[in-house]
Amino acid sequence: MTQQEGGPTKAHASNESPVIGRRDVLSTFGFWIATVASAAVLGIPSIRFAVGRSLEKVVEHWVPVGAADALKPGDFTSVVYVFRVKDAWREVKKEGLIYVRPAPRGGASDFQALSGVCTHLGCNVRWNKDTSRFACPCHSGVYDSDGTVISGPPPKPLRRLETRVTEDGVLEAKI
Amino acid sequence: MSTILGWLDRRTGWSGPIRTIFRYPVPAHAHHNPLFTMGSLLLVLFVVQAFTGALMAFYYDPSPEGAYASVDYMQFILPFGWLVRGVHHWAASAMVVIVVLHLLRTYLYSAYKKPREMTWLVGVVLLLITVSFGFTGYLLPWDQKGYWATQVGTEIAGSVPAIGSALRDLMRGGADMGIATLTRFYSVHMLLLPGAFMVLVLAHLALMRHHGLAPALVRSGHGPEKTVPFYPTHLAIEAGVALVVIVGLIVAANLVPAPLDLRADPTDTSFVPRPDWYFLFYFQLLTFFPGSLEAIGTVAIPLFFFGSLVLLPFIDRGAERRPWRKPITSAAFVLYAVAVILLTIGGAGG
Repeated sequence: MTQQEGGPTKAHASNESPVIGRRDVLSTFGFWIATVASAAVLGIPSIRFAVGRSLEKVVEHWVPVGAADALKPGDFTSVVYVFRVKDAWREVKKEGLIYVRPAPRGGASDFQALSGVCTHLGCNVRWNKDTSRFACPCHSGVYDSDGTVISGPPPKPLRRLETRVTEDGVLEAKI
Repeated sequence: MSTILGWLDRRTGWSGPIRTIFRYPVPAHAHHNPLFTMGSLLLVLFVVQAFTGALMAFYYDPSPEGAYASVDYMQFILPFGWLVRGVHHWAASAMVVIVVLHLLRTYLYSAYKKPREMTWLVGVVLLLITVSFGFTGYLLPWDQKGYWATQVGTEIAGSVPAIGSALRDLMRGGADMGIATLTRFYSVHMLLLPGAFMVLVLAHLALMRHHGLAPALVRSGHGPEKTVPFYPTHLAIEAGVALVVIVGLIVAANLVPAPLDLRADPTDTSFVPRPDWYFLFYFQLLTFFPGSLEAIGTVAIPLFFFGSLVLLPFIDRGAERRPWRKPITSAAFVLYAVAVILLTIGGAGG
């Protein structure tokens, strides 16, 4: 217990009436200002440091998916895309899963590409050819072949990705 | 010897406080009840974790490229790697079991009641930290299980209304999981959480000593309850329990080695993500809230659960402490326990 909480100090007690002197007030202010200022000058930059670049927007990439004419109509092909990207201080190989097929209704250059990441909690979904459904193994979310949620907890459809075919006939998806 | 101790005492003045700590009178009912050794057992397990964790940090490489190989190396190549990592793994599970027993004992003895509310509240925060140790720990090997559990865990943070995606990205150190996720989980797991844990344990112990243990539920005999000295009588029992548990951890590490899945693969579709057993009930709970109701399972129910723990001593304020005379709190306990057990079974089988 400190002297402030415990009542008058000895010096005050001998005077019989507790007097808070100017020095006490200044010391109290001084203590708190110095403490709060120390915490602030270290704390604010520390918080900014810890946040770092976490909240920066992700740059979209066009990634090659494969030869456009190699895709069979009707069925989805699962594609693992790979590209090199700067992850914080290192250049790393970034990988991800997408499902792609020639668009059921559309021209020869139309493709349907869906992200393979479940919109519920980020697990990878699996394409089942027989049922024409995507299913997530984590919480049994089910999507139809358009990526629309049929049942289970996913809050949104599978992300639809833009596609394009390069002059060399390579299909690319924007992720 | 006594000359040296006498000199030390004159230079430090510590013999008085040390004597106060070790001569503390322990009530006989607590001395004879094994449930009252759970608190000190948790402290022992924390020291075991700090020690084995510090040893693993000698070899651990906190990068997505190197983490898996370094854990594989310590598990299979280094002498007694299976023991150090295995004990760390099993002690983590043991801590969850013991912390729940410790909480149940406190709950059933109504030891959270006036004047011990603060001890209870500090304990609730310690429970949260214990669970956070588990969550931040199992990403570190960068294997399939750790990767996907963290993917799901951070997406759960992402489902918090309004601030979710910022929260998720802050946890990951970016929009996707990568090197920044691993290094921040490593730092939180081995520096920030242990620091907070130690400060709060000291507060918890100081509060426990300040108020003394809650008296026996049913008094037998007349006059003041008998006591035994903390050292050596009660501490002998606690040390014995600790020895049994530590030997048990080593045996467990030998019989069932700490698991290490395949290296994390973000593109894999054959792996079925499942968290460690003590998170299964929560994992399973998330199945039941589709679409826009998602936040009920991820945020609202856990908040209600912890909120009720926090508010318990302020709601249940009557003098009655015997569980069989408190139907409401006892029924709430049974309800929570049954829900957690059923969800865990569902999560394990699903």
